[in-house]
Amino acid sequence: MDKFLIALEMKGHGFFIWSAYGVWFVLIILLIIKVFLRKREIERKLEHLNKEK
Amino acid sequence: MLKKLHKYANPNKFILVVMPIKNICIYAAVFLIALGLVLGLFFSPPDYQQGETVRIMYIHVSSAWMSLFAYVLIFFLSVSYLIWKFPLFVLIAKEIPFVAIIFTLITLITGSLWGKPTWGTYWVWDARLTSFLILLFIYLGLIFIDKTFKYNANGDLSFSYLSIVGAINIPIIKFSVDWWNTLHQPASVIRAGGPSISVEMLIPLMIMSFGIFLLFIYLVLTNIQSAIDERKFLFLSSKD
Repeated sequence: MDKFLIALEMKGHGFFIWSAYGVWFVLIILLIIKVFLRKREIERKLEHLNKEK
Repeated sequence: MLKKLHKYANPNKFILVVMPIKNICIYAAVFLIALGLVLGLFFSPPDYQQGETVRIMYIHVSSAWMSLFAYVLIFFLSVSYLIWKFPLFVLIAKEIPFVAIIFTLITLITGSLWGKPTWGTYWVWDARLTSFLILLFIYLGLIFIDKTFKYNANGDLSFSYLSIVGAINIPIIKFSVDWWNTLHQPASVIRAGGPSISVEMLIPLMIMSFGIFLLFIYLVLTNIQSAIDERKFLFLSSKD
């Protein structure tokens, strides 16, 4: 537990380091979700169009 | 050589060729980014001056390289489009800015979070930071042009011209730390005379950068696939 807290604290710079990694992670995940949603949406539209025909 | 490439100018053939690459990219990207994170956060040494804050470098520098590489790619695709008029070139180029702007945003935010403990301020209007902010606005402009002139030949031309004009910012970003007195440190990896940072830091940085590069390729290829499907949908639905 102590080792974990030391790793989190990063010698007093934990806030900056973990915030940077947090922002990085959130933005990357949002980007991936956006790309996947666009892909799924157009696949759904094409499938719907093909069914209509 | 160019004639051999002609057959891949067909978007459907292009997709068939790149799909297997796309799948390899995502698995390799996840593995390399995870490895880079573990090495960068827990195994690389702290810097003798900056201490633990140097760990921000692994996400900041890899994202910055990606933003710059993405712009160089857009530039070459735009020039190729204007020369050879293959629509596929501009179709690929137009799918890059949305992915690249996120990496530019990451670079600016993580740089700012690195700047506070290192320089004592989140932001300063120095040449490197300002030119990177301009890159963000150029990406925004390219996205707006794409959204405004969707499926329009004039839009393709406007996109290509703006990306070529905006390319002037790339050497400014790269050499800003040499041309002006900046708070930002000079280049320590891509520089004449080889990298000046320790191998223990260089290895996680290169692993992370390659992982981010593969993720970028995967996301852009997925976007290209969606863009081709969107055109297919538009064509099929307009026939009815």
